[in-house]
Order: sequence, then structure tokens, then C-alpha cells
Amino acid sequence: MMTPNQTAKQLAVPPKRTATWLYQALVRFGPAALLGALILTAWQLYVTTSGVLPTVLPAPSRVAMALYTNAELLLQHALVTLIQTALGLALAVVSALILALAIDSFALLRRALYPWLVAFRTVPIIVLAPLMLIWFGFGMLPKVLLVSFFCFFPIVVATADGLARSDPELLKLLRSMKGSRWQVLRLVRWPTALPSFFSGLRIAAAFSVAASVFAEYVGGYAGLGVLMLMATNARATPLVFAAVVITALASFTLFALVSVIERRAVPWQRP
Amino acid sequence: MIRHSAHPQAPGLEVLGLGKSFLRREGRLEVLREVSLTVPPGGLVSLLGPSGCGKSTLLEIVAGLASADRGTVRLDGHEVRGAGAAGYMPQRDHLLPWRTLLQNVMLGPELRGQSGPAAEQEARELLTRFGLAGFEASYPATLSGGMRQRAALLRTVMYEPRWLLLDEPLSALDALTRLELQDWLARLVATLGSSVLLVTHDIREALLLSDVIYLLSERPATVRGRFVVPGSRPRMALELTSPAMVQLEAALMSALLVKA
Repeated sequence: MMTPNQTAKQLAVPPKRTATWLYQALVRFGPAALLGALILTAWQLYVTTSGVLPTVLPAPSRVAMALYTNAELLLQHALVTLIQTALGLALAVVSALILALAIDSFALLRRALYPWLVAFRTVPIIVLAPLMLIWFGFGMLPKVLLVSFFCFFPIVVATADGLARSDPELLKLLRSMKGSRWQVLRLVRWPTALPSFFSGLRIAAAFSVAASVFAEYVGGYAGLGVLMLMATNARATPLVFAAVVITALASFTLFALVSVIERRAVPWQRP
Repeated sequence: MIRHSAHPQAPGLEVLGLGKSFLRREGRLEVLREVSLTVPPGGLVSLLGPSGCGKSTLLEIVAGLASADRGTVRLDGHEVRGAGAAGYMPQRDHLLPWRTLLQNVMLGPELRGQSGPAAEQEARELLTRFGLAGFEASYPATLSGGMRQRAALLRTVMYEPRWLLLDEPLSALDALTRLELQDWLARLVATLGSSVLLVTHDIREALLLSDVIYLLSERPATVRGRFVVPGSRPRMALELTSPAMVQLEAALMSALLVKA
């Protein structure tokens, strides 16, 4: 009989632990890293040999330099963007969860709202940015609202789907034990929905930074979008690229953060 | 919820004249017709019948999960209305994947609002008797089929140990594990003192585990015969080779194979 800490998978690992770990990391991430390095090198070579203007296409080395010399400026604007993204995302999560639970509890509400939510999920919400500007001005509020509006639909649709997808046999089991509505929600329906909620959240989180930056493009006082716009107008193209790099990093970090939280919140799905 | 029997001479579990039909597009589908049976207190009664004959429906009605068109179900003289009076174990284990073994086993006490230290202590003691000690913190996905099935039975026992309704509890297992668990179940049920209604399509399983076997016909299910199994429980697998047992097995097998 197996003991808990002696699964077949662990038994299959050969004795030389550290060497295999390094080897596995190389096999897994090596090709992608190599391809990235190749593309950067080609880009660098193309810029230096073709003599293309740095205001049109700066070499990676120039972008790196811009990142270094403008670190404080970038950080300042990145902080604004990150805070409004986080606020917007939090607002979206809270309101989406409330609406998903409401939809799940009342069949009529589901029939009335769900088709609209699915339809709205396909609408590029960021095109509403100018309207937000008209209604709420140039401050942080219109950006936060746009981000939360943008993130709201994928989360609410995924969560509502997940809540509706419970195994009828599990529901029957709870019924045989006289589980109350609330107990069924807490013990079966919510855990069933959790992975769906997180897949909605991961998508929302990954694109939330872009929504934030776009809202800043349209008009604002600070943030990576504002910085990009100013740098573009000043033909400081390396700084534009640097801001793009920071935006990409922020998006990736947010995505990774959600994945980490998901692993902790859904521990039973880990092998 | 019945906690104490009404009379000293408790009648056990009684199923009286049960009838059930489903409405389908093709018309009315009759599943159960005039089914009556009794499980005496502390007894183990098997329902043996061909697949799809309505055994599971019968068990769901007894569990209060479905309603009958005709007839009644009584536990110690009290009519069953709605779910929750008996411990019901569905065909597959249906452990909640997001709960550890201990949390799954504690589901019944938790739903009753009685998941205190006393219940947990009881669960931990029973975990040892069910051969599951050391796996309290494991998730179901990491357990073997036999362990999951034992855990599901323990969950049922923790919810209501007096009445157990088991729907083919071992049918999902491989042949060897099934033999092992049949033997284990025979000894366990004898010590629990539960009244058990067991649905199965395995003749040997029924012979090994039961006091009485009810043979059901094909759909619509009616009781075709009531067979008292010789000897007393718990039986050992070897006892199935006694002449009386072999004769009973042959009788049951031919009855199952001959269409009614």
C-alpha cells in the first residue's frame, strides 16, 4: 500500500536530484529563452547595420538605457497605472461575484441578464473611454471605472457558468443529507465554480493593465499611457519602448499573481 | 429525524406496496410495481436484480430522494417523508474533490451542525477501523478506488449509522479489490449493528453479505422471490462453497437468467 508522501511520481525521479532539476529546467524553458535572445540579437544587429533612426526603431540596448536613466519617472507613472488597475480589478471582482451569485439564485434574473452579459463580453469596453472622460473627468475615477467595467464581464460570465455546472450527483448526495441551500452553495457549488472564476479572473487581470493604459491615452494627468503619449510627442521613442516594456511586465506580473493565488485557493487540483 | 425506536419490538425498515412510473416522451415507463420488503433491525437485506430493473430508483425512494406513486416506506414504524432519515451511499463514491478525506467523512455531522470535537474524535477512530488512518489530510484524487469507496461508506456511517442504503457500493472496483472489500464489509457491518439495504447485481456478494435476498424481476421490478441465506454473518468467502450455498447460488443464477 502507498503512503501519502510516496506517490508513484516521486518514485520515478532518479536519485541525482539537483542535476536533473537543472536539466529539466533547461529542457522546459531553454528553447523559449534561446528564441527570445535570438530575436533581441537580430533586432540589435538590424538597427546597427541598417542605420534606421533611433526615433523610429531604437535598438534593444537603447531601450535598456532608457529604462535605466528614466527609472524614477517610469516608476512614478507605473505606480499610478498599477494602483488604478488594482482598484478597478478589485471593484470588478466584488461586483461580478455578487451578480454571479444573484444570477445563480434567481432563475428569472439569469434568463433576463445572462444573454446580455454574454453579449457584452464580446464588446470591446475600452471604446467607452472617451465617454468616461466626459462623465467623470480626467482624474483616476474614470480609469478605475473603465478597468472594472472591462474586467467585470469575463469574470461574471465565467463564475455564473461555473456555479451552474455542479455535478448533479453531488447535489443529490447533499440532498440525501438534508443540506440547506446555503450549505449546498458553500460545499458544492462554490468550490465547483472556483476554477471557472479564476480562469475569468486571469483573462481579466492580464488585459486590465492595457485597459488602464488605454484610458490614460484618452486623457489624464499621470500613468504609463500619459507618459507614452508625452514621449511619442517628444519623439523620445526609446522611452516609449521602455514604457511598453514596463506595461508588459506589469501585465505579466498580475497574471502570474492570479495564477499563484489560484494554486493556493484550488489546492485539490494539484497532482 | 428518528433517534429512538417507537416500540421495543421495532419493525425495522418496511417497504409496502411501492409503485413508481416515469413519464417519458414515448409514454409512461413503469419502473416499480407493488414492491414490498422488510429489513429487520440490525439485518442486512440485499436486492438482487438485472441491471436497469429499478433497484436504484427503489433505493432513492427509501432515501427520500424520489417520491413513490403508490405505497409507503417506514423506518421503525415512522413513515419516511423527505430525505435525511437514512444514510444513503450512491453508486460511485462522490467524495467532494475539494475536501480532504477527514473533511469528506465529516460532511454529515457538519450538515447537521454537529461537527464538534466529539464528532471528529469519532471520525478519527472510525478512520482507523476503515483502514484509512494516516490519510486524513489527503485529497480524494490521490486515493485508490478501494480507499475512496471505504471513505464514502464511512461518510454514510458518520451521517446515520442506524440505516444504511448502499447502492452497489463495490461495483466500481476491480475484481480483486472487490473481493477484499466484500470480506471487509461483511465483518464491518456485523460490528456496526446497522440495518442495511444493499443493492447489488453480484450473486456471490449478496450471498456473502446478507441475511435475506430479495430477487427482483426486470422492469417493472416486482419481487420474484425472497431467499433466506443459510448460516450467520459475518461469513467467510470459503462458506460460499458449502452445498447449501452452492444450491442457493445455482437457484438465484437460473432465476436471474430465465426471463420472468
